[in-house]
Amino acid sequence: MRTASGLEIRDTADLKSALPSGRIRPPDPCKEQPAPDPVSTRFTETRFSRRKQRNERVAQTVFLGMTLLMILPLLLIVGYLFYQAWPILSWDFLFTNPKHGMRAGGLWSPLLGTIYLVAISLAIAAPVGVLAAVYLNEYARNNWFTRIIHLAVVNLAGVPSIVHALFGLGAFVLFAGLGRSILAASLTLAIMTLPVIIASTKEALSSVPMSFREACWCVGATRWQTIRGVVLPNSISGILTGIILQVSRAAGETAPIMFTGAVFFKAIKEGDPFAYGLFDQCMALSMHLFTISTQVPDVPPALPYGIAVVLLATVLSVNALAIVLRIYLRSHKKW
Amino acid sequence: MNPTDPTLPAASPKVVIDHLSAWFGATPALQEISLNIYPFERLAIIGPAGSGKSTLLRCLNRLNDLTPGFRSQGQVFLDGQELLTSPVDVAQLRRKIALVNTDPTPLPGTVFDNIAIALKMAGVRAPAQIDERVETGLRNVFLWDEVKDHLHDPALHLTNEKRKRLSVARALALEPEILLLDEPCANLDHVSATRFEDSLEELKQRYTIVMATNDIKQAARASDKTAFFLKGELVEWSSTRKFFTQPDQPRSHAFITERF
Repeated sequence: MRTASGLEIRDTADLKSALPSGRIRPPDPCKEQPAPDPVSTRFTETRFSRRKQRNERVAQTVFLGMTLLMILPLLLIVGYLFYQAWPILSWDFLFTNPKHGMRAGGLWSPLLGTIYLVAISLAIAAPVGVLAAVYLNEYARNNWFTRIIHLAVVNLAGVPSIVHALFGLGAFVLFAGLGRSILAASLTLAIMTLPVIIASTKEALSSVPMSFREACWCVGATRWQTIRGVVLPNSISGILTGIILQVSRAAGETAPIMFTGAVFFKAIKEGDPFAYGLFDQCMALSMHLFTISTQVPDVPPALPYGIAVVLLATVLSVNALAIVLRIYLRSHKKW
Repeated sequence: MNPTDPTLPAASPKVVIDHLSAWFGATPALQEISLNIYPFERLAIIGPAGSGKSTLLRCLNRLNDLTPGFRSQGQVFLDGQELLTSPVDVAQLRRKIALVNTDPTPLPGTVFDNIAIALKMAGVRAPAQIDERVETGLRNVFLWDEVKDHLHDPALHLTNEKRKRLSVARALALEPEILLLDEPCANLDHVSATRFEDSLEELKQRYTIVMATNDIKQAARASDKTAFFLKGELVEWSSTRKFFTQPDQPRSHAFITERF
């Protein structure tokens, strides 16, 4: 068979590819050409590749296992605490003072004491810590003096809390004459949280790119204008997270307040949030839990668990607040 | 454009750099640089990477002061006033001699904020005045028409070329006397670079422009005078036309014919 132009066509497949003009279409370069080698030789399993895949699976399983191992105790602890504390939990439990030699009643006095201690200690430590960190990160030149300060901050963060307690006793209770009071205990807690706040704030500040600062300086900003206009707004979420995480630490510590302001028992006016004064002594949840479990005989079994749940819930709700705040501020961060 | 030979100075120089040397720690970055910058000219500083171009620009507005280990020797005069050793208000100096960095850095915030922040830091408070000067600033770099509907979008969404022009607009909003551009067209494709150079041509009417670049062709296209730096040393400084047609120094010749 011949086309109009005289080209010979041998079978129907060639006929289909013959164009109306009579020319034969060139082979399509995109069409898959038959592979010169069989498929089996291209993706063969070797001993090496098998080992690689096995290692990959093992690594993934181990990491997953560790993650679960980390979550499991937490869930067990929280679950067990709630299960044991369930009979005693009620609003009354939160808002009444301990009664009958602390074997009954609620938690109002220690709960309010803890709130006072945490709030006042952070009100002292946060401004000092943040401003010191701003100085260290933004102004201080790298010389022997600032290196010593850095070293001091790091070491202070590693000091055991009982040592802070003794320092607080000596410095605030005795030397400054504050007596055993909320103020002295808060100051001790503030000294304890300060280095961590400085470290976390410095971390947050140094995560702001240097180029932002330079861009600011280049348009004639002073250091303070740069800090206020660019550095702080972009590091505020990290700074706040660092501060709020210290709440749980301040609320949980027993040692620093034991010598400086917390007492075994103190009844206050129920339901009055201003029942404590700065120079009063107070009860605190962590200390209360310790006394109830070790010093008082014949305590109903649910009571210590109830205190633990309230302490845990206070800390967890503050942490949850930190997470929400961080998400909110992250979503407003523009880089 | 009528390039003058620097050996025959026509006007009195805007900036006089007199035997300026600089070091980062023990590493010398600039060696005995003497150079004049005349009003309303475009001076291109060329040289391979590490030749001290950026260091020189950052000396002029004292941005190097903030680099640990930096020290300098020699003098720089702006309109007869010494800048490096005498106590000057650095913030004010940087408003007069504005630097646009290699990496265009929009600050986090909207396009509008980026320019407004510079104005606010310079003490401009009235909102109407800020609005007006933001617009003028953006028009200066021909960015207004492109971003006027996106003034309140994050500046980090802009393309690289627009970011660059935004950085220039931010610098210009403060009405500086001298504009320093560090690698103005690094990371820009040639179309954007050409557009950018066109805006420089316009800006030259009002500002003295110093740009550091390692793009020889750009220096040839968009400058009146050229200074060639090599390893912190000023090899040759002459009108751009002379530099690219009859360089005095064999090293300059080798550099412009790309034989390095």
